[in-house]
Amino acid sequence: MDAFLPLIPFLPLIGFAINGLFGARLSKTAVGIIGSGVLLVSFLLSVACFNQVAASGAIQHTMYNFFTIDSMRVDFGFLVDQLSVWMMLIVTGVGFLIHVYSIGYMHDDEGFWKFFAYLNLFIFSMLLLVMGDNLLMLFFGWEGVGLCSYLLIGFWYTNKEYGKAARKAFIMNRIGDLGLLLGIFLIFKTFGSLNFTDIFSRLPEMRLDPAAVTLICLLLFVGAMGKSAQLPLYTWLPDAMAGPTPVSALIHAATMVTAGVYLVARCNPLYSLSPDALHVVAFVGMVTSIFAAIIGLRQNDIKKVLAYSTVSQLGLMFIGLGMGAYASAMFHVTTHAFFKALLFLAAGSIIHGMGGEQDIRNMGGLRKAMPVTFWVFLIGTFAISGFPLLSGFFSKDEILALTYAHGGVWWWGFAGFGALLTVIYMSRLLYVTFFGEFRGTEEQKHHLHESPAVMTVPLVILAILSVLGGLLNTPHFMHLGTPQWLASWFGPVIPAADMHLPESTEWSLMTFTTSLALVIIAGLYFVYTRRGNLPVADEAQTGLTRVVANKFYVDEIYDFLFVKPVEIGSRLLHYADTLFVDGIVTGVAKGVERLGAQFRKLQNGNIEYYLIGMVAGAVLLLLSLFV
Amino acid sequence: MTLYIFLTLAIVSVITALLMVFSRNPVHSVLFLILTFFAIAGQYVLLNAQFLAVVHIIVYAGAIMVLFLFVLMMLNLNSETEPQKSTMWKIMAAIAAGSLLLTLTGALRGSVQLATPVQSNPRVGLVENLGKVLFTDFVVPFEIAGILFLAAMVGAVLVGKKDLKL
Amino acid sequence: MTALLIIFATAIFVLFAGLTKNRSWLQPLALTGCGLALGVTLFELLGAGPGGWNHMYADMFEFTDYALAFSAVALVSALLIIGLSGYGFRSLHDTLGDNYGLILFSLCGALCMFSFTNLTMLFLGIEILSIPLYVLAGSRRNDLSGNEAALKYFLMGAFTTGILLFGMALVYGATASFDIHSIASAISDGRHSAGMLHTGIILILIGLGFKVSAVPFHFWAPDVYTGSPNLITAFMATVVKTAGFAAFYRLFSVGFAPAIDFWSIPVAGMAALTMTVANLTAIFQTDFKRMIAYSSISHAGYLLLAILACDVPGSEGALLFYSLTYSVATILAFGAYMTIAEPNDDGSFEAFNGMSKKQPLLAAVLAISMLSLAGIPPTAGFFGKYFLFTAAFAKYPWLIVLAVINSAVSIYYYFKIIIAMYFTREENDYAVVTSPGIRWVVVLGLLLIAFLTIVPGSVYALI
Repeated sequence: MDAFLPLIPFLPLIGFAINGLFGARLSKTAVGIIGSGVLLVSFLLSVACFNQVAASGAIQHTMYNFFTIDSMRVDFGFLVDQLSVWMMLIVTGVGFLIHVYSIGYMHDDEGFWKFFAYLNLFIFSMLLLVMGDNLLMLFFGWEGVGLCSYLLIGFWYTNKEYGKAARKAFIMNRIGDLGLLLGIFLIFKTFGSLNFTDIFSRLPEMRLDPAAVTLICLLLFVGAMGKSAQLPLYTWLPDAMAGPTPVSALIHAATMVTAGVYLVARCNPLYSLSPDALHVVAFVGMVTSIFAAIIGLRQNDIKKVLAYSTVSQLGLMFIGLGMGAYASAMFHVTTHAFFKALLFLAAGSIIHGMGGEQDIRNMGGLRKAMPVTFWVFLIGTFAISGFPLLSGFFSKDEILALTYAHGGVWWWGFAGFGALLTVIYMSRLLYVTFFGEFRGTEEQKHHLHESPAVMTVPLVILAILSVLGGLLNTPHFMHLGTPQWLASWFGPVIPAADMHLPESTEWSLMTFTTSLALVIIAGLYFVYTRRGNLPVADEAQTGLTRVVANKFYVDEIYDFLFVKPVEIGSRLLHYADTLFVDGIVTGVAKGVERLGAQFRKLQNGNIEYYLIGMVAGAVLLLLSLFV
Repeated sequence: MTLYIFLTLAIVSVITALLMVFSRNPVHSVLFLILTFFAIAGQYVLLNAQFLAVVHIIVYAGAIMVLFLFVLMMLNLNSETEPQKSTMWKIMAAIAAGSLLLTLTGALRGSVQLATPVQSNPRVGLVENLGKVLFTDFVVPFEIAGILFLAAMVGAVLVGKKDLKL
Repeated sequence: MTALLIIFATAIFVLFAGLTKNRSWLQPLALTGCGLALGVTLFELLGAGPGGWNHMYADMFEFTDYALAFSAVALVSALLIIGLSGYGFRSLHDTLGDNYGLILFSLCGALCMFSFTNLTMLFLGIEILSIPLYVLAGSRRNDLSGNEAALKYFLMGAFTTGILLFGMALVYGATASFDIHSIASAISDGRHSAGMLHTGIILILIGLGFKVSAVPFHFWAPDVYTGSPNLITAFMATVVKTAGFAAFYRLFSVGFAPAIDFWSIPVAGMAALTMTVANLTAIFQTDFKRMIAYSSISHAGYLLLAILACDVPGSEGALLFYSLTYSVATILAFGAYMTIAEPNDDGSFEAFNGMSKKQPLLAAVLAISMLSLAGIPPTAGFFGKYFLFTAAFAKYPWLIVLAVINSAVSIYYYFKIIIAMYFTREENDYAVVTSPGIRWVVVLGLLLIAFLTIVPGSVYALI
């Protein structure tokens, strides 16, 4: 197996190379088959890996030595343990389905081959991220996925706004990456190694300053905040919806945005040493989860609702991490990958059928025209809402129960509140889109059609996974499926969180949230379909709703606080430059006949300014003699 | 005695240097600069660097300054054609240079005592000794300096040459 | 030394060959010379060359692995630049031989700066490097901005030469030696006069700071870079910078190492200022060359970190790796830039609009070099920054925080080019004129970057 291990990430890279170099000359079918085929093989190899890990434990495979400097040895190596093989399965499995779906979705796009090339490159980077055996490899993949995300958000660059969204995503991610990079530097300084196995094995015997561990954890978490779109670095994710919908499903729902969760789960031995850092993680997750859910309540763009929902769900995962329930968070990553990919792809199917329309106010009644899409969307909505026995039910409930056990009733209350908000906006989305009368134009009504099989088959598979995914890790007290299978699978990497709740408490917590969710689903059905309450137009909104609909003006606030000062600083320097330098340069360009005059001006003006500047600098440096 | 000579030469060199900067007429400037060079050459003699003193006068005062004078006269530059600098620039330049002077003096104050005094062999600066050093210890820099001069010559030719299509 | 002799001999050959009517073999001649020198350098570097040569040069040169490795970097840059010269010098006729000759002379100076053990050699090296450049900056004599650049460069260069020389004299006065090893032992033994030594170090710092364009001695760089011919700007941004930093590092890590507590404060200040000022100014540029000028200043800020970390093992490798990746990326960027800016006489960012459709290869190369300069991970530039930052992190964590923030800011302006090439709908009707030489250089450079990305450790093995 070891020999085939590098193939898992490198096959998508080969796919990228083929599609990127020759894609323009290949037929669309060939491009699609190559793009998804390499992923299928990667997926099968990952399954083989999974079997081997199950049989004989983690695999460590070093391809070659990246560099050795003094005591720092960094290898291009893979660490395939229970955690990473699980992520590999998600990335390649869900990735494969989304690739297949894209064959249908992007069929009429002239950049078809480019799209597949970028997607393959993304999968390669994502696999490096989860498979790397050291932090540098992780960072490599981390930045790689950021770059691919940038390329794919800006894929339809003909729209200028999209390009801006892409750049925003990139820059916001870079802010997070600053934290991650500094965290990596600090880890190297503290442990003298970047290798996960080394770091975690040295951890017990080292007497570390708790403050240092907290600082490392917080810096890593800043990276996670950027990538996983947590407050305050979340604003890029809704804007990232500018990219094609399969991209939103793959990158901005199922895989890349969960990299932050993976990072924290991977570094759980460190986090477990720092309760303070865990508190911060839980708190940020909590605030994000509620904040994003509130914004999601008043969005009318189908993809924006899903985007805010993703931010909110990621917040829930971070609550889980903050509570020390790393395995539960990873469980939610898994189920979320299924149902959120499903929801996004179904939304893509709607957008496809509606000829590019994304505003739910112009939809309605799609149930009849797009039956398959409707049913899978319904399943997705129910799964995310925690409808009993669907996947989201188990994973969400587990996080909530652990939150109750570790954080107490207040934490549980807030987390549960966020979860209920999710139920509200998701049901609203479902009802407004699929029920009632069709509200689009005549042309759209004419065009409306169910998507081809190449798109619906992945949807159905994801729907089945969304239904059954929860059975991977059912709670003990329900005596159903495979109790706590996933948690025990992660056991060697992630110590199990102790759940010291009486069964009766668990039952009552679960019943409480679930019945509330069911009431909300039923109640909203009445509000939106029977009474026909529709979201109003943007202008008609007043007061608080308007603030919510405008996403609490966070973008504007950021613009004022960060972008403007940098621009002003830059502008000031620019003026200094213009005044003293450009004035002369433009003067010089005026003509040969004025050479003499210009030369005098040149000697008169800026050289002296430069020299005075240099002398002033020299004086400053000399002053350091007297310090 | 040496101290008085040193002081006289130093004062002369500073005053002539200032006059060179402040005089309006470029020709006067050049002449003052030549005087400065003579004063500095005097300092070299005091330091037993006789060869250097002679070369200094021959090369700088003799060759380079005469070249300067020729150029000035050919271009017919005089006080009228000299560009007038604004007072603000003068003040700024004076402040900058003044503070540089201050910090430099401050930094060097109290450190005039040499760590290892050079032995005062009166013949150290004569051609014979200098030649020996140049062709033994410093033969490599001496040769490498050849590259520098060759490069400078080629550069000078290039500046003066017209680019013709052949 | 062999490389120095080969380059010097080639320069002479080229000068004479320039007198003949047929000039088509000037470029191959220069390329052969550089290639030969590079081959010899690599041969000596990899341990196959004759050992114990350094005593032949009366303790003036020391051909250590450090010197050889940096010579190799400079020679690689020179090879790539001369490879571009078929295009860059295409309008020159009569003076072609002189131009090549001067570039090679300048390279000789750089080679002296890598291996000096004596301050005299450092000074000569700097002058041999600079004087041809003063002329080359103004080599397009009908171009006003070129003349302006040359004059400015010359005046300010002469000014700092004075300061540098004064600093060297003071250091000599304080330690009674020009030899960097003797200086170091004089400093550590306490056989020196502190005030004079420190003033001397500061003055040398100013002189070298000017050469590597560190703030506040950077004023010349934007004007000179913008005004000079593209090829010469590429040379200044790469070979001169590499030479400046290699000499800087050598002098401060060997000669002035015992005084590190003293000089690290001003150097740290310079590094912080350089990165910040240059990056913020670069954001506002609309002209590619001016942006590259500020970018090159900001890279000087990062490279100063290597000087600060000179007592950390691995810092010289970091400096070497960074110089190499930075140089290659910059030369590639210039290669791609020339093909669009020179025929259309427009160097603004808008000139690049839609370049990905006109010249996919060149656009991809330019994009990759921008990514590398910005330090985005899949490219070699990331490792450069990573090595530098880890080396300096233990001693200067806050400076590294600033550096990391600055490198994030720099993405903003590097991406402007990529956006113009790939993500802009407005197109222009500019023609892109390339030549086979440019394609060769670009492909070679790309391979080099790919190699450095895949096995970054290989460069460390050289030192």
